[in-house]
Amino acid sequence: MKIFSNGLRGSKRSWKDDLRASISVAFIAIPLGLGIGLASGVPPLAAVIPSVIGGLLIAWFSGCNVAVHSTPKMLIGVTAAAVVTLGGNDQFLGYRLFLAAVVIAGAIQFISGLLRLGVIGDLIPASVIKSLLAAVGVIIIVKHVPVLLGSHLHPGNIVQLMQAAPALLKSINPLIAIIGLVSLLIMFIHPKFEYPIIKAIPSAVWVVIFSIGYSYALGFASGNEFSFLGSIISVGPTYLIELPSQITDAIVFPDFSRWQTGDFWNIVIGILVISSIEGILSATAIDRLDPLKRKSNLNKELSVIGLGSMMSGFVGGLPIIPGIVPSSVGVSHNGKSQLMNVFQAILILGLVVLLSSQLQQIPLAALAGILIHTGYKLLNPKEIMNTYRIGWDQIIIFGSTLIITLASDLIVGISVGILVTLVIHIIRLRSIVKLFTILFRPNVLVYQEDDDGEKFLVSVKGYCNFLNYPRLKKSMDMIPSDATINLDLSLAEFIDHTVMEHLSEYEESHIRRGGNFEVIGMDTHFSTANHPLAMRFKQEGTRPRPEKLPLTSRQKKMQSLAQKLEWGFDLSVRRYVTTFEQFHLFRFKTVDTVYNKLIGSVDTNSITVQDVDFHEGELQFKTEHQTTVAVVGLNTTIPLFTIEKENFLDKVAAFAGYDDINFKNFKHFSNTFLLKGENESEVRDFFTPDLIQFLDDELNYRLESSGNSILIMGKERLMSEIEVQNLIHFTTKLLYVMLK
Amino acid sequence: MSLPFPFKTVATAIAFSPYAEANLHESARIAEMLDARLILIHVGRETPQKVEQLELLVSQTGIEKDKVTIDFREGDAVKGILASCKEHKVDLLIAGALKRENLLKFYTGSIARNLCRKAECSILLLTDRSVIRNKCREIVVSGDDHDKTEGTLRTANYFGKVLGAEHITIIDEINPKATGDKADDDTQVAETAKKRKAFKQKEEARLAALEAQLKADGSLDVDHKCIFGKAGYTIGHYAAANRVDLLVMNSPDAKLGIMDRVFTHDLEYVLSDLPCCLMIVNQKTDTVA
Repeated sequence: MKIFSNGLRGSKRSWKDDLRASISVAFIAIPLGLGIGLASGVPPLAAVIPSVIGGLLIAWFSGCNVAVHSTPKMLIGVTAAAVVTLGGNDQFLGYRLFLAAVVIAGAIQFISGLLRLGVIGDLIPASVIKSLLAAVGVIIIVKHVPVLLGSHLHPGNIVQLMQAAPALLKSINPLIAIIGLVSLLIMFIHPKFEYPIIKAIPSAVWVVIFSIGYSYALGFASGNEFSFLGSIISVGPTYLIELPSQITDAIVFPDFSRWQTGDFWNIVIGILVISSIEGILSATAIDRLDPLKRKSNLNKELSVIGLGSMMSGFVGGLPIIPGIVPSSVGVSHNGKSQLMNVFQAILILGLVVLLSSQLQQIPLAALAGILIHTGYKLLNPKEIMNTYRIGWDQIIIFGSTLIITLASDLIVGISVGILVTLVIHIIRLRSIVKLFTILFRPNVLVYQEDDDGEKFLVSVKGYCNFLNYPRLKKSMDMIPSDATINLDLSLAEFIDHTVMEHLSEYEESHIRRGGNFEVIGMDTHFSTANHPLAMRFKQEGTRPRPEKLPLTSRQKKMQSLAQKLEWGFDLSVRRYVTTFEQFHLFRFKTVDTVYNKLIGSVDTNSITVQDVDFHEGELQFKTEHQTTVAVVGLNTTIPLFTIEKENFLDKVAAFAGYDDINFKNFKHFSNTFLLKGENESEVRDFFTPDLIQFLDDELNYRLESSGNSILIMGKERLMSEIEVQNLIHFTTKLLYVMLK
Repeated sequence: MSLPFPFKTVATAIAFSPYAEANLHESARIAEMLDARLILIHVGRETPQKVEQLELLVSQTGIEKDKVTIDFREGDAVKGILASCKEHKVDLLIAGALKRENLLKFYTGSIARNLCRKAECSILLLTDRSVIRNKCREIVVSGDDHDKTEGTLRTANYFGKVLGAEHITIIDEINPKATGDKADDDTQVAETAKKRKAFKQKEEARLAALEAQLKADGSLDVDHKCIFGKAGYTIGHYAAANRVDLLVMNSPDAKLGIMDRVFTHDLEYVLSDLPCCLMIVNQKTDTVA
């Protein structure tokens, strides 16, 4: 795979695309920034500063490749509360004290990036993150419904909003509510329009254009009165955004005088944790959008945004993160490098200076419309339904985190969410000690399966949850991105939802980068719900019936393989299967169950490929194994023989009394393979030069003939879908050559 | 070069339980295979009835009676067994062990695992007795870059031949830190992969030399594999994932204490979760193969 240079180095080729994309980005970043600033209870431009600083100063060192910087949405609640906590009635003082906290949090973030603490993003359970986002969504919506409707009431939380509902309805200003509701409508229906012109301009820009026109038309700036349905309604500058008349007035310096108070440090921790989590979350998400499939350096980015937040805080801005909204807009408009980030910053600066009088005309209700839409996106009702489907345990985690976050704050919410997750795991594991041990024990094994190719086996043992996932991820990260990863979970006893989700994302990005990724050994785990991402676990002594479980992605792939080949696919679990007793390879093995059976045929010879669970030894000395084998039922009889590579791991003791049959004319074949047969001359006759040539080229399995059946077996582990495909391919070809 | 006889004296602890009886049978079998003397150590007071009972048990195993010595020790089991081993110049101590123990036992230590930590002779922990009864096919030996490795390898080869094993894999655990473990972005991944490859080549050359030496002595089928991960842990995981029958490791350089269990490392990982039968080769100059 060609690696495109990271950051700015590759941008020479793409500067035109980047410039074009940056126009859309700048236009969306301004209203979004103003909205976030407003929602955070700070001067609106404070939330635009991060976009400018990010593009002008930070883009040059960024660890991301296509990220456009903006300010974290999740911090809205934290900021608004902090300004009140620190400043009391003096909002401006609160803002300046808050800026000091931003600077210090940025410094700590810078250091934590150098210490490579970027893993923090993986250490939060998936449902807790979803819940935090939903909580922020609720906070934003609750705060802006009155603004949207032009009411002057300020309910602080959802309970107050309910109580104030009647008063709220009475205090609606219809002329303002029109702007608010139309803006909201634009935000929601814009994606459904297909016209190129409407589509080309982002929805937030349409809202701004509409609302500025509306406020000019009605004369908001000078104040105006209208009679509407018999009552007098006034509109005036109080309904408009308040921007400084001089752009330089937006620059405010931090006040460090409260650094020794506990409140101050609570806020520093809040900013640090939330902006780090959201930053890493969106950096990872942006990577999945990158058209050039590059991989971001999260630790570097963490340091860089820390540095950026320090600078931003020094001049009156909120913290910086790679913003998911501007970045997605940029990528969808063909942006390719960090140059896009630089251009959009220059554009924003220019637009804010040139259009400052027009921007002054944006009604607050229009921004509230944009914010409520953002809040709805964060709340994501679909995702809540999805969480419910993943299992009752996830809904408990989600619900408790949501309630606690709304009742207190995000940091308490995260802590409670993690705690609840741990309690659920302890209940599921029935042991607190096991949970303790996974923190300190390695549980991952990585090795290259074949010396020449790029095929890696990653095996995970024991318990695997959000606490030790970073270890697994680190091991997988070190595997080249175009290699094949087979992740064997057959030794894992417990895999939680967070890991399942991370793995499915990892699979997606690894395959995007040209590699191959497959999870094997999970078909017989129990799960709490019928969902591919639900937690998986084994229970001592019992095996689930796979036909009742949701299909794993491997099973789905096998199913579609069956469809492609027009073969049958049988999911049912069969016990006491005796087919294998005729083979020496299974002489010391007892087959427990056979499942995931692919059934097909070549001419009139049947082929079945199946997963087999078997054990060796009994009672305490029982060891359980899994493997995937192909069995061919022949319509003729062929000599008995076994053939395998010499030096193959665990050789069979079968046919012990017989010598290796060698062919003088095929030195390589004779040296590579161990061929044994009961009747040497029959075997010699059967192995035609064509067959020998074919086996010499393609045999990577152990093969055994029992007269009218052939067993084809690989390593003693389950095969990935691609390996199953290869096995079928080999078997079909073998039959053609053999029976020609 | 002919192989000297490494295990002249084999010992095992004996008590009166079905478990211990099975253990006795296996030990007697191994002693016979090795053509060695067998010391049976019983922790407890010596009484004529016990001697009679034990002699009866021994006669059931079919081992020659004059090769067997019964040694009674009183007091602490671990200390008694270790003292007896020292006295009788035991080369190989055989002990039965459960595959996995609960955490409390792990920290306080079971007898078998404590013997591993403190023994001065080689020790064989049997988790799966069928290995001896049926067939031990696959042996894994740790191929650490250590002076002891060569001797351990030769002992494993010797013992494998006695058991009728078929294949030995030498596992070299490469600490990811030694090769650079940064993989934050594409450049770093590529760099790490390059470094790893170079490191692996170096290690493989060393292992190939060991293999060649072993082959010159007449060995089983030998293979090697480099795996990446924490030393001591990954080899156990590999053994579990590949259904290995016997794992052979170097003895620890220092006696292991309680702190080694708290900050688990090397051998302790394997001891805490035995993947299969484990042999720890303790080399005394006169017993090296």
